[in-house]
Amino acid sequence: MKVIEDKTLPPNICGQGSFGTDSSGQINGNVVIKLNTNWPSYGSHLARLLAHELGHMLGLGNQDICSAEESVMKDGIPCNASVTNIVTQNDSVPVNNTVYGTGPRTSCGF
Amino acid sequence: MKALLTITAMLLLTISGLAQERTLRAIVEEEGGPVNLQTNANPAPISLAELARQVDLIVRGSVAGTVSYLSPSGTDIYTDLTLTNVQFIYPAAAALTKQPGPPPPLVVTQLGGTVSINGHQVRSTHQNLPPLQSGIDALFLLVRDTDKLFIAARYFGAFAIENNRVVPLTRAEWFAAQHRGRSADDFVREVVAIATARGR
Repeated sequence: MKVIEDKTLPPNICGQGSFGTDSSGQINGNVVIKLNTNWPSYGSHLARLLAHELGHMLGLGNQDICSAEESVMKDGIPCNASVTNIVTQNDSVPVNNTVYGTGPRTSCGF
Repeated sequence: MKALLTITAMLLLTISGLAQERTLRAIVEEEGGPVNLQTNANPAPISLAELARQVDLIVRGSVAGTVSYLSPSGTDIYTDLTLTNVQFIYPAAAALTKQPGPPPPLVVTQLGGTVSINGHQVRSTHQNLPPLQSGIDALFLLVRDTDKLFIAARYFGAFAIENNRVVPLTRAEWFAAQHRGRSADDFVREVVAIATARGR
């Protein structure tokens, strides 16, 4: 896994994660996390950003139900947002196409 | 969950040693193919007004064809979308500069696509915006970068127009949620007003 500062990322993209997959969708390498050049100013959001990208690599989708404090997979967070929680219980199951329950989750929490 | 926290902490400790990225050609030459690269960008929130304030050009058109190629850095793939039936909306000067006959095609560049390298298929998928297919009628908010027109804020400046209603094409559900399904005419009026106010 490589972590790269990418000068071409526009200001509205805090960072991004890329990974290679084989024909079955399994990650087979080429894992790269790119950070905007402003990353030194991210503060506590930097750890959250890295955890968010790792969450994608583990198969988690973006989370639109929970708040930023309730799930690391909530996206659309300011790059320098102050965050207390990083990974929570809400990040322990896939949030988009979960096989638990009756389909995609419609509420946050347990 | 603990594993995710541990890996995150390890990354934070090693982040000072920022690395270089391999090109797609190098990946194919070293590992063979096919190569499938999936990218998930982590965008900061952006409002429609913030988006409109950064555009250089607004057009409506139909995607008539696509051509993919390696990005200048060689680490990603770009796809040029050829638009036909182009209606220039902003700036006003572009809208008023009408030549006789049908308007010429316009090329818009989107991130991601599929190319062949040494006979191996190489595909780059950006999860934040699905590949735009031929036939789609859309409104594009565009920014210039060197000689290309890119979708504004990478993934947010493309809106499908269906039955004269606007649907953001980005997969970010939080973006412009209150504008989904809005009349295309009203939407265009608002966006152009913001862009024009910025340009004064």
